[in-house]
Amino acid sequence: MDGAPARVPSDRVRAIAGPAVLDGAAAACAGAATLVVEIAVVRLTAPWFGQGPYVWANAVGVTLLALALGAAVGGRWAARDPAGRAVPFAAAGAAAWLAVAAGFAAPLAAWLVPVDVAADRPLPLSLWASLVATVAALGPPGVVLGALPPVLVARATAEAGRAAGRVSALGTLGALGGCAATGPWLVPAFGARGAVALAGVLAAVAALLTVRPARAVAAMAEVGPSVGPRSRPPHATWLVPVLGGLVVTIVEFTAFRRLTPVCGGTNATFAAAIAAVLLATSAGAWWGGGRPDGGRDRSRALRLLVLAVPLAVVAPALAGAVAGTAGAFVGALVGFGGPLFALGAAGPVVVRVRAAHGGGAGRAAGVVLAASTAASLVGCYATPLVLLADLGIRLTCVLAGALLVLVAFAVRSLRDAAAPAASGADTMTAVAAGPAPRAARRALVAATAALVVASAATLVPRGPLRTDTGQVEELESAYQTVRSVEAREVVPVPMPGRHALFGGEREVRTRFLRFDEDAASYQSVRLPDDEAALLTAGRYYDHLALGAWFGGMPWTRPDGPLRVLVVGYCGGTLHRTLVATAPAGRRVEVVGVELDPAVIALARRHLGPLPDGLVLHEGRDAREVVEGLPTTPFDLVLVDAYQRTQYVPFQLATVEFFRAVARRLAPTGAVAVNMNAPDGLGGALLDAVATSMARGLGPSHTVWLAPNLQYATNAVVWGCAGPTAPRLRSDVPLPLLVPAFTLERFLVRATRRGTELTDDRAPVERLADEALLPVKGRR
Amino acid sequence: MTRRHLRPVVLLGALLAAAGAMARGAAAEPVSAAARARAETAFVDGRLDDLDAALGAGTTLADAEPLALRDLWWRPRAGYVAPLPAADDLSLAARRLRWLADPAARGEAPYPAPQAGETDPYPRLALLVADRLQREARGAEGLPRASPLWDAPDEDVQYVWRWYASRAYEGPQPDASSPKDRAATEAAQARFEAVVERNRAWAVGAVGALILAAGLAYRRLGSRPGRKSPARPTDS
Repeated sequence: MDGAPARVPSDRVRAIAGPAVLDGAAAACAGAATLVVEIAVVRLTAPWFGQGPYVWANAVGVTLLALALGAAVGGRWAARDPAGRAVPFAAAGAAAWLAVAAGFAAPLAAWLVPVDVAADRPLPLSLWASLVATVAALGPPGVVLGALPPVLVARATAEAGRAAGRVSALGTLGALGGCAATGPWLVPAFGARGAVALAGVLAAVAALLTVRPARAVAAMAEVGPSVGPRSRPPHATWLVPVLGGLVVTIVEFTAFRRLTPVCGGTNATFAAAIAAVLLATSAGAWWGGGRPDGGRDRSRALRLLVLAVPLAVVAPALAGAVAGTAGAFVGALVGFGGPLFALGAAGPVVVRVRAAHGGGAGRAAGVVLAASTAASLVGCYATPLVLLADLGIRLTCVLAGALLVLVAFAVRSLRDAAAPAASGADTMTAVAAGPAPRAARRALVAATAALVVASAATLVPRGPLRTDTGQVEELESAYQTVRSVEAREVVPVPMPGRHALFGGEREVRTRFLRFDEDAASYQSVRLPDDEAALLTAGRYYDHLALGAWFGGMPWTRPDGPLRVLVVGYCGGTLHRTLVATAPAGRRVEVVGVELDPAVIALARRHLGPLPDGLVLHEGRDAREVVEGLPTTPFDLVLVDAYQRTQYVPFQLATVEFFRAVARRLAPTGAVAVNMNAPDGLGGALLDAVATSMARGLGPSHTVWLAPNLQYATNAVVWGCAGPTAPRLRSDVPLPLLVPAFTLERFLVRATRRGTELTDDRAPVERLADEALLPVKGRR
Repeated sequence: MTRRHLRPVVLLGALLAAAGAMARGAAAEPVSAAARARAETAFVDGRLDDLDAALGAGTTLADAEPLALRDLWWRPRAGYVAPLPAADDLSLAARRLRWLADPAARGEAPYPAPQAGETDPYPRLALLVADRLQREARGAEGLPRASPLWDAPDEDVQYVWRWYASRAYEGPQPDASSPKDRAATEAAQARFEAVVERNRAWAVGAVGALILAAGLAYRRLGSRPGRKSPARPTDS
C-alpha cells in the first residue's frame, strides 16, 4: 500500500477494539511481573547480599533502568511494528529468561559474595554484586517488559493520550498487585526462586494475552497509527515526564517513611502505602487519558497540579494522623494521593501532545515513559540515600512541592505548542499487510511453551537457598530467610577463684537462628545443654539481662515480679536469660514484640518452647505496639530489634520512640538498646542513638554506654533513672560475672553529641553503612 | 561449797579468761599484708565475694576499707554498716571511709590518696576507683589512654586494661599477636579486596552490556522498516 491512506471499515475497527481489553490485561501482567521479579530477586540473593539500602536501591535502580531502556526501544518498535506482532514472542522470551534466572541467580550470588570471604560483612561486596545479579536476572526481561506499553499503546484503537492513559493505569495496577503480594505471600508460598519464575508465568500470560485471533491480526496488519508529518515537540514534553517521574519516586519513598512510625514498618504498611500511591497514579493516568477535548484536558491537569502543590507540602501532617494498616492506606491516599493523581494525569496529556507532533502514539508513549522512568531511576537512589537522610521528610515534601510547581509551568507551556490531536480510530491509516494468521499461530505456540516452562520452574521443589554447616532448617518468611544452625563451640565459663575474664572453657552445643547474610553473627541463640550456668556465654543477651540486677529493680525488693518489654523478641533468648538469672521463686513477666511470625515458629521448633509469663505481639511493628500499650510501668525495656539483618529500624531509634518508652517506664526503670558497634564506643550511630535516647527520656534519666569485651562488635546503650551510673545488686549471680565485671570496669557516660534521630529525619541506614564501608584513611 | 570444791572452778574460770583475752588480742590484730594483697587481687579480678574470706577477720579501718569500698560504692549492699572512724582520725583509711560513707560530702572530690609518709595498702583499688570516677563523669573522652589504668604499675591491671579497653572503646583491633596471624589477616583482606574489584568490574560490565544491547536494539529499530539493500550488480 506504500503509505497510501485508507479508511478502515467499521467492522474491522470493532475486531481490533475487542482485544484491546486483553492488551490492557497484558499491560497489567507485565507491570506485575516487573515488581514481582524486582522484589523476589532481592529476597533470592539476600542470603549473600543482605537487604541493605544499597541492595534495594540497586534492585529498584536496575529495574527502572531496564524499563526506561525498554520504553525507549518500545517507542521505536511501535513505529516499526505498529501491530505489535512481535510482542508475544518478546514476552515469551522474557518469561523463559525469568524461568532460567530462577535457577541461576542463587549460584551467581554465592559466587559474587562468597561466605568465607565476606562473613557478616557483605558491604562493599554486595554493593557491586547486587548490580551484577539484578542485571543478569531481570535486565533483559525488564527491557522487554518495559517495551511492551508503548507497543500496546501503538496498536490500541483509542486516541493516543487515552490509550497511553489506559495502558499506564493498568500497568500500574498490575505493579501494585505484584508489589503487595510478593513479600507477604508469593515468597513464603513459592520461595524466592519460585517467585522469580512466577514473574515468568506472568510474562508468559502477557504473551498469551497479546496473541491476537487470526481475524484481529489480519485487521491490525492493515491499520496503524496516524504517523503523519513530524514536527519537533515542545521541550516541555520532556520536562513534564522527567520532573513527574522524579516527584512520583520521591513521594513513594517519602510516603512509606512517613507512615512507618505511625503504622509500623510491616509488610502490610508497605503494601498499603504503595497500594495507595500506585492507585492514585493509576487513577490519574486513567483520568488524564480521558477523551481529548481540544486542550481543556491540559487546563484540568494544570489546575490539578497547582492544587496538588500545597497538598504535597502538608502531606506529612495529613498522613501522620492515622494508625494501622487501613490507616496507612488512607493516610497515604489522603496525604500523598493528590500530587500523584495530578502527575498521573499529566502523563497522557504529554503523550497526546507528542503524538500530535507526528511519529505515532507508540513512539510518543515510549519517549514519555523512558523519560519519566529514567528520572525515577535518579529518584530511587537520591531519595533514600540523600534526600530523606539529609533533608528529612518535611523538607523533602517541600522539595516535591517545588518540583510540582515546575511541572505545572511545563504543562502550562504545552498549551501554546499543542497541535491538533490525533484521535479515534477514524484517523487510522492503512499500512502493509502480512501473513498474520500464521504468525499468530507461531506466537501462540511460543507463549504456551513459555508458560509451561515458567510454571514448571515455579512449582519445581527446591532445597534451601543457602546451606551452612550444621544447618537444621531454612525458612523463607515474608521478610527474610531464616536458618536454624547447630554448632559446637568452645565458650568461656566463669570459675570461682579465677579472674572474671580468664575462667575456664567448655565445648558446648549451640543453636542459632541466622537471618539472610548472617554467617558468624546470629539473631537468637540457645545453649541447650547447660543454659542455667552458661546463659549465652557472655553474649549481649547476658549483658541486657544484667539490667534486672540494677539498684532499684524488683530484685532489690522482697517480692513482686520483674516486668520487661522485649522489643525484637526473636527466638526468646533474652526472656530465657532473664528467667535463668532471676532469684528463686521470682516471676519474670515479659511483653514481647516480634515483626516476623515465621521467626517465632522456627524458634519454637529448634530453640525449644518459649518461657512462661509471655504476652507476645507477633507480626506487628514494635513502634506501633509500644504506642498502643497502656502506661503499665515496665522495669526494663530491652530493644534488640534489627531489620534487614543489621539495621536498627529507624522508627525504634528516634526521640519520639524513646519518649513513648519513657511514658511506660517505672520510676526506677531502665531502657537498653543492643547495638552493632564495629567502631567500639566511637561509632556515629551509637552516638546518635545515645543522643536521641537522652533527649527522649528527658533529664530524669542518664545515658550510659557499655561495651562487650568478649564480642567486641556489640555494645549496649543504657538509659537509667537518676544522674548516677547504675550500681549492681551485691548478690548478682555467678553466670552474670563477666557482664557485671564489664559494667563496673568499662561502662562510660554517653557524653558525645551525635545526630539527633527524629521521625522526620533519621539516617540510621547511612550511619550504619558508614561503619561498614571502607573509608580512605581508616584503619 | 568447800575450798576443795572451789579450786577447779577457779582454775576453769582463769583458763577461760585467759583464752578470752588471747582471742580478743588476736581479733584486734590487723590481717596480714598477704591477706590484704589477696583481697585486693580478688577485687581487681572481679571476684568480689572472695573479699570476705580474706578480710572478714580484720578489725582495723584499713582492713575494712576494701569491704566498705565494695559494699558502699562499687556494688552497694543493703544493710551494710561501715565502721565509723573517729572524728580526729585522719589516716588514709579513715579519710576513705568517710568519702565512701557520705555521698553528699563526697561531691566532686577525688578518692583520697595517700599523703606524704603514708603507704597505700590498696594502690590497685585506688586506681580502679579513679578510673571508674573518670569514666562515669567524663565518658570515653581520651580513653583508653587517658585512664590511670593505662600506665598502672601492676602488670596484670595494665594488661587487662590495655587489651580489653582498646577493643571496647576503639573497636576490634588488627590481630598482631603473631606474624602468622598477621599474615592470615592480611591474606583475607587481600582476597576480600580482590573480590570487591572483581565485582566492581562485573557490575560495570553488566550494566554497560545492558545499555549497549538496548542501544543496539534502539538503533536497529530506528532504521526504516522493510528497507532492502540494493541488489548486487551481476555480470549477466
